[in-house]
Order: sequence, then structure tokens, then C-alpha cells
Amino acid sequence: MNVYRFEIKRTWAGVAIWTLVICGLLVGLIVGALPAFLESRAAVEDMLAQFPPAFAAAFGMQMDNLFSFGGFYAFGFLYYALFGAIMASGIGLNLFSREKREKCMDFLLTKPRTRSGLFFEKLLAAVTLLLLSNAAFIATSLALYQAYAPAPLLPERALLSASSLLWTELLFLAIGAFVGVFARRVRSVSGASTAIGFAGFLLSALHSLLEEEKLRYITPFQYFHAAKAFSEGGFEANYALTGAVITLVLMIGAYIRYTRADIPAL
Amino acid sequence: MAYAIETKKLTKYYGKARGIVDVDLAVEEGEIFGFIGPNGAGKSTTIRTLLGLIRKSGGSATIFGMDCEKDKVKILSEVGYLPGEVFYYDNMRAIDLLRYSASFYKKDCNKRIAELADALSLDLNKKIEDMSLGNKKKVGIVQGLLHSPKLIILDEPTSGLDPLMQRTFFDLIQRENERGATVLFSSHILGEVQRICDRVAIIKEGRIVDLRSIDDLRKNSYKKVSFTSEKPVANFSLAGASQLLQDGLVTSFLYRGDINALLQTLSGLPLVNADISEPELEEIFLHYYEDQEAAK
Repeated sequence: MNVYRFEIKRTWAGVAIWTLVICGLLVGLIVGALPAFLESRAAVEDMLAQFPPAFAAAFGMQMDNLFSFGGFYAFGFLYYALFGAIMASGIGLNLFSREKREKCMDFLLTKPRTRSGLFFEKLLAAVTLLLLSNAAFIATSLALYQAYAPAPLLPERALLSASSLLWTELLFLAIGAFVGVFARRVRSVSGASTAIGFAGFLLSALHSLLEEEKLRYITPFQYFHAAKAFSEGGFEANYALTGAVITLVLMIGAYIRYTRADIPAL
Repeated sequence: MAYAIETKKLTKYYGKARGIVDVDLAVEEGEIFGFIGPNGAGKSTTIRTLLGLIRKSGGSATIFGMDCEKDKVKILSEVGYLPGEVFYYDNMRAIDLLRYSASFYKKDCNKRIAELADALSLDLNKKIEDMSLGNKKKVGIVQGLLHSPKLIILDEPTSGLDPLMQRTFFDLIQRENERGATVLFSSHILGEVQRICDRVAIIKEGRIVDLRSIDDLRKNSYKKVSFTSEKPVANFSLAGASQLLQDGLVTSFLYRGDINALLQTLSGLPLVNADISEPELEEIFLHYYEDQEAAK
């Protein structure tokens, strides 16, 4: 498991920072912004009325979801998902194109280890990091939920809702891994992961703008919908399945490529 | 005789482009085997196929009797690979990289790392990216040898090393060989190969064109001869001389044959200067294989 330890050592610091950012934003919104919004509801409504409706929709600022814990949490989720997507696709890109970027494929692949074994150790390291990050996020969410949500409390639903970030991040991990393995050159992990995260954000914005339900099939941030998970006690089967299938297909594709590709001389 | 490396009709095509075609190699255990050819001939392709870095298109390849694809992991635990170009992870000290490398082998390599670093005068606590090219290569050498492999595969290993370090490196390799390791040494520089190899295979355009002992190659290769005389030499002739060129007082030709006959002929001439030298590898190819073509 030396590769597992190596990858974790090299990646955990970046993940820790992103986790702090996401949890910080979460706390900031719920503890800071929500009470303020609730207090001066009229002022906020006026301000919102001044935004062009399309703009407000794209950024998730719709009237019904800004004045309750649940709605505010869901509104924030667009942004947690954005950062989470950048973080997770960054992990995927980082781990699965590390040797390609640093030109030491020969070093790793001439060691007595199957390519399959190497792939799974890297995957395990990635999933470990995501689990740790989300443990922090879920713990923070639940704590805030207990403190700020109105009775009656439904902690199991809150847990499910908070877990939607984990499933979304796993999807983006798969995207990052796929791109990392297939791309001929990965010039900048942070650049590429930011682009991937924002692509996800834009798709969500597009969906909010056009309000076309079918578009949800191409809106990765909404496959595992946090608000719906809470209100309905579960994720929507067809969208969740779409997300799961895409994740699996990309991961399998990355695996096949990683284990079979010819590694030419530099 | 047990073979350390044996390939039969090993072939690799990159799409339609030929990599290597019908390569037959048999490297005996304990020998130092040279693998020479011009750039692009297929040396790297052959080696990378043996190591499992690329998949063969046809033929077979075994190391220590084990199939290179099926038993890759077992094979690689006994193989040390020293590539020509050395790159490692960013932000790592040499010792960290070497310990990480050692962690893949089920042996304690700390003593070996220290011994090798000492022999090569390598500062293990320096970051690799801050090292000179020569020092980076030294890290590569230690990395390839720290697990005391039974087979050492070298791919253009001495480029970037100063002559003193080259000597140290060859001494190291010779000692490994005396310890029982087999060495496959790939290069396009004849000088390196001539120093330590027992036998050589010559590869050209993807195919093995010859396989012979080093002494044989030396004996049968040409010498470049040129001399300057006091007076123009008319009707110069010598059995074994070819490509004769005369320009005023300077005569030059290629000679193949008994060196004594050459020296006797030259000593009979009023010479101002004489120059007898080894040809470049490229020249050997050109003339040797032109000969083969002509003979056909």
C-alpha cells in the first residue's frame, strides 16, 4: 500500500484547504447570512426584484428558497457542489496523471506491481480523501441542522441530503480520472479542474434559466439533489441512476485505458 | 545455458509504422550484452516491450524463462531499469525517492542505497529538481540498482555523465556483473559498448542485422587511415584498402586487414604525418552493410 500512502501524503493538504473553504462557506451562509436574510426579508426581496430574473435564477437565488433553513441550505449547495466538483476532479486529475505530468511513468510502471494494482491504490487514496472531506462536511451540516433548523427535526433526512455532496464529488472524481488518463498532456491540474467544476455550474445555471426538466439529465450538480432528498426522503431514482452510471462508465474507461495503454519513450 | 532474456520473432507495430520486426535475441545469464543501432532503429521499443511498458504485436519474449506479459510482476522484482532520460516527482529529496522506490521490493535496501550513493558521491539530502543533470543520472543509477537485481537493463545510460563518472559507472556495472547480474546495455555510442560488452546485437530499421562478439566486431571493422607525405605518392596500392582518396600530399582510405601489413607499407613511405583511427559506429554500419549488400 505504499502507493496509497504516497498519494495521500501528496494530496491531503489541498483537500484539507478545499474542505475548510466548503465548510467555512456553509457555516458562513447558515450562521451569518440566513439570520440576516430572515430579519430583513423585505429588503432582500426588493434587492432580488432588481436582478434580472434570468441572472437570479442562474445563481440559485429564487424567492422560495432564501427564507428557510432548507431552502438556504439548498441554495448554498450549488456553491458547495461547485467547490466540491473542482476539488474532486482535481483529485482525479492529480492522482491519475501524476506520473504522466512529471514524466516518471517509466519509474512507476517498471516496478513489480500490476497496473491494475496501481490504479486501485490510487483510487482508494482518492476515495479516502473524499470520504474524509465529506465526513467533515456532513458533521458540520448536521451540527448546523440541529442548531438552526426548525422542529420537527429529521436527522436521517438531513444526513441523506448532506451526503449528496459526496455522490456528486464521486462523479467528478471519475471525470477527473478519465480526463487524467486519456489526455495526452495535462498542463495544469488546477486550471483543468476549475474548468470542469465551472462547466458543471454552468449546466446547472442553464437548467435554472430554461426551467426544462429534461435538462436535468445533463446537470451533474442535480443528479443527487440535496433539497429533494430532504423533502422526499430519497434521491430521485432516474437522475441518481444517471449519475451513478456515468461515474461507473468513466471509471471503467479510465481503468481500461490505464492498464492497457502503451507507454512510449519520452 | 539458461537465458536471461530470450525473444523469438518479437514484433511491434505502431499502427502501420514498424517498431521492431522478428527480433530474435538470446542473452545468456551472467553476460554483458550490448544492443546497438542508430537512433530510431528499435532499441527502446525492444526494451520497453521486455519491461511491459508497451504491448507486443507478435512473437514471444521471456525473462528468466518467464513470459514478459504474464509474469511481469515476478520478473520486474528482479530487474533494474536505468533509462536514458531521468525524471522524478517534483519536490522530493533523493533519499525520499529512493526509499519510495525501495518500498516496492520485498527487501531491505537501505544498505545498498548508502553504498551506491557513496560510490557515486551523491548527496542524498538534496532535492532532485535542484540537482545537476549528472547528479540526477546518479539518482537514476542508484534507483535502478538498489534492489540488487539479477538483470540490469541500461538504455543510453552515460549521456550527461562526465568521463570520470562514466568510469565509476562502468566499474559499478562490472562489479554487479561479477556478482552474477546479467546486463543488457543499449546504446548508439560504440565506445561505451566496446568497453564492457561480451557480445553485441546490431539492430537497424527494426530488425536484428547481426549478432557477434565484440572482438569479432572490432577485428572485422575498418580503420580510417590518412597520411601526409613529403612528395605526392603515385600509384599507391594496398590490399584491403578501399575508398582511396588522394589530394596533393594527403592520401586517405579505409583499411581492413592485418594491421602489420598496413604499418609495413606505411613505413616504406616518406611520411610527414600519419593518422590511424577507429571509425564511428555510423561508418561501420554504412561500410559493413554496404559490403553485405555488395556481396549479395
